[in-house]
Amino acid sequence: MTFPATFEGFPRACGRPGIRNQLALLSPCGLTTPTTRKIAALLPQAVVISSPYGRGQLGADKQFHDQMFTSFCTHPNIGAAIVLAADSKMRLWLQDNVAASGRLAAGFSLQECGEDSEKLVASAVAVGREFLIELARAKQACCSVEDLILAVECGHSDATSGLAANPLAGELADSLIAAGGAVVIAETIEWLGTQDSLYNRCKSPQIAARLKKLFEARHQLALEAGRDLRIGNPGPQNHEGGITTLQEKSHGAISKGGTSQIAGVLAAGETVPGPGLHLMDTPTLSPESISSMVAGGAQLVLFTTGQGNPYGSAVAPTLKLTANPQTAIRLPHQIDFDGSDVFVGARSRQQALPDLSQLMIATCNGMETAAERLQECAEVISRLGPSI
Amino acid sequence: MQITAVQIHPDDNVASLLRDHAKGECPRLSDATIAPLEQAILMGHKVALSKIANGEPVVKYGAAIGRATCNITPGQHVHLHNLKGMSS
Repeated sequence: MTFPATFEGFPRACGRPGIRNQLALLSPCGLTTPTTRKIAALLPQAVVISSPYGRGQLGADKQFHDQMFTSFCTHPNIGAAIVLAADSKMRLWLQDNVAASGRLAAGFSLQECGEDSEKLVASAVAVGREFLIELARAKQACCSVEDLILAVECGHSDATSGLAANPLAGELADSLIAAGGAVVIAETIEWLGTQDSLYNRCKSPQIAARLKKLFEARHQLALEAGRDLRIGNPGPQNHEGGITTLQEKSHGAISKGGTSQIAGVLAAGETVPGPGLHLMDTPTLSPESISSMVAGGAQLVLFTTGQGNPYGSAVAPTLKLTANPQTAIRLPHQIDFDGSDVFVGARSRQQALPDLSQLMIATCNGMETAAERLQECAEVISRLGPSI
Repeated sequence: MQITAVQIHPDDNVASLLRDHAKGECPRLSDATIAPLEQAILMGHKVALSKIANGEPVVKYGAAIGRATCNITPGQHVHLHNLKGMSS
C-alpha cells in the first residue's frame, strides 16, 4: 500500500504547516488564570495555554517555563494568539514572539488595565472574535507529510497495548518516517531495561552518548528519591498476563515508536529538528510528556491505551487507539481507532495500517478527534524546581 | 483463518498468544502455523517458534528480552521457568 504523501494543512510564514488554525489564549502567570478562564468561556473555540506559576521561578525551571510558552505561542497549529499577562513586560515578551512569526497577535495585561480584570476580559474577547473571523477565512493548502511531526504516547496500558496497540502505532511511525516525516516518543523511565538496544539503534555515537546521559540522569532522580524502578518490575500482575522481564515490558512500551534508527535525542520541549525517530526525555505523566512533545513541534498525537484515557493535547489533535475489545465497546465516544481486530487476530497489523494512516491524514485535514469533541484537552508545563 | 498468535518482529524467536490455547493446539500466525503446544498456554503468554539453546537470547520486539535458562524447543511455553532477564 502507498502511504499518503500529502495532507490539507495551514502553511505558515515560517516553520512547519499546521493541521489546525487555532486561536491561543496564553496566560503565562497564575495571576491571570481566573481571567483567562472567563475569556475562554466567551471564546469557546480558543485553546488555553496557562501556567498557575510564572513568577519567582529560577534557573532551569524558569528557562523551561519560558521556553514552553515561546514554543507554544508559535506552534504550527496556532494561527493567532492573545497574551493575557500580569504586566506589560510579560505581555510584550510573548506578543512580540507571536507577531514576529507572522501570526495575528494581541496582548493585554492587568497592569495596563489598571488591574481591572473585567476591562481585560472585554478587550480580549473583542479582539478574539475578530481573530476567529480572520482564522476561519484561511484556506487549507496541500502540504507534504515530510513536514509532519507525530508524537506517540501510551497511557493506562494493559496486555493488549504491548501486543497490538503499540506495535500498530509503531507501524504507523515507521511508515511516516519512511515517507520523510518525523516521530517523537517520550517517558524516559519506560525505556528502562531497553537502553542497550536503544543505544545500538542510535544513528551516531554522539546521539547514543546523549541518550545515555539523559537516561541516567532521570534514573538517578528516582534512585535518589529511594525508588529503584528495577525492583519488583514487572510485577505479579504483569507476570500473570505473560510479561516476564523488565526488557519485555519496556520493549512493549517503546514499540509504539516503531523500529527506525534513532535520529535524535532531545531534552523535554526541545524542537524536533528534522525527520526520523526522536526520543525526548520527559516525565511519565501523559499531560507533561505530551505537552513537552507538542512544544517540540508535534502537530498530531497518537495515544494508545488499554483501559481508556480521555486526555488530549489542547494544541495538537490527539487520536486514541485501543486494541482492547472491551474498551472499544465501552468507550466508543473516546476511542478514535478500534484496533481490537488486530488483538483478536481478525486481521494483521499490516492489514490495519492503511485504515490507521487514512485516519491520521483525515485528522490532519481537519477531522475532529474524540478528545477535541469531548473537550478533554489541556497543556501542562512541568516544574523543575521550587520558586522563591 | 483466524490468527491466534502474533510474532511482533521478523527476528523474534517467540510469538505471543492472542487467546488461551489447549495442549496440542497449533497457534496460527498470519503466515505460518506454530508447532503443537506441549501444554496449555494462556493468552498473552509466549511460545517458542524455534529452538532456543540454554543461554541464548529470547527475542521479542526484535530485541533480546532475556536469556533461556535451559534448552527450549518450538511449541514450548516461554516464561519465568525458562527465561531470565538481563541486568540493566
